[in-house]
Amino acid sequence: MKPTDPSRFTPEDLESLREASVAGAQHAGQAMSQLTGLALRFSVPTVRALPIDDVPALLGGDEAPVVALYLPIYGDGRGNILIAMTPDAAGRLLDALCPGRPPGPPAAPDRMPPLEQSGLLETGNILAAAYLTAVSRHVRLNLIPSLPHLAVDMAGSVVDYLLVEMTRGQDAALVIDTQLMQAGGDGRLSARLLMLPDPDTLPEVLAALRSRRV
Amino acid sequence: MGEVVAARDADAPGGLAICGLGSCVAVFLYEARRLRVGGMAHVLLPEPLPGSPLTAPGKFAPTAVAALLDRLIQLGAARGALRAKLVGGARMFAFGPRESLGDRNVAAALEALQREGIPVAGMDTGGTAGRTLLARIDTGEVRVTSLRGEPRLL
Repeated sequence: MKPTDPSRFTPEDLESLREASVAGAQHAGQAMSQLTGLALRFSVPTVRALPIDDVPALLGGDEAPVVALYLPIYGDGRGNILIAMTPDAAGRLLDALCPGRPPGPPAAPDRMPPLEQSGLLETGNILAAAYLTAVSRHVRLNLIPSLPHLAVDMAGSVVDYLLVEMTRGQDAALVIDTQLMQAGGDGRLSARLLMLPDPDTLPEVLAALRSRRV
Repeated sequence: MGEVVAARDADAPGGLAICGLGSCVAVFLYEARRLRVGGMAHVLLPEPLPGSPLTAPGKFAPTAVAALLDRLIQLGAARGALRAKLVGGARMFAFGPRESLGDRNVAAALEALQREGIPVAGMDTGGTAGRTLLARIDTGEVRVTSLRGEPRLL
């Protein structure tokens, strides 16, 4: 099947995707605050068709070390969710989740203590489930997160696989970008949630959104 | 991603670099004897897909190797002196089919090089870590770094 060029979506399409993501971002922020006991919230999402080369810059640049959680989305619409944070921010998150751990950024997955690993994976589960539940409710389609996968590596290397597998040779990807921030904090616990819808399944999602408008 | 770059040594004195390579594969070609021209392709996928835009041959292993070879010969490379070094093709997330996209990229690049009759002089491929590489046209040397372990020289 010919892959869909994401730049063919209209500004109205992008706006309706953004609206659908707002509820997701709010819901995910609530879930994160309850999980960590910290005052966290997500920014209002932006939706853009970005050249795939520009995506690592959202995460600090090609070589920036990131702790990344990746979950494929299944159901009526497909795509990927990527949650990325700096090793420092991941350390902070783990301090909140696993009291008593030695402070500092986490190690590579193969050397990370199992408790810290499950702390991060569980964070991915909860964030993605909260986000997708709210989006599903808004679009009235079934969007199901699969199990999260963890990587600690350079931002460019973490996203190239996702982007290539999904865009299958296209130059651009549709990126719904939301930033997690700590209210009143020093800004060191921040994370980025990127939802990368598979452009091939978007027409159904957009049709569902349009039919809601009428 | 998907670029094909060929250069004379004098025009790329610092070498050619790709930062943050995951499942993609870098194919570096250089002249083993004269060391005057060299080039690199940043391959995304093992083969073009039906309907893939053919405007960017550098994305797919067979077309990337062919395009790189064309450009090097245009720059005056001695075809028989060309050697290849391959870097990348990691599995960044532990899941999915036994043969990852990275593995398939490496296999497809090797196959394309064999078809063109270009010997492979060095490889640092597979594994689970992302890589950054710097390839020198004037020495044929490739320096590979990652967030884990020591830099590697090919």
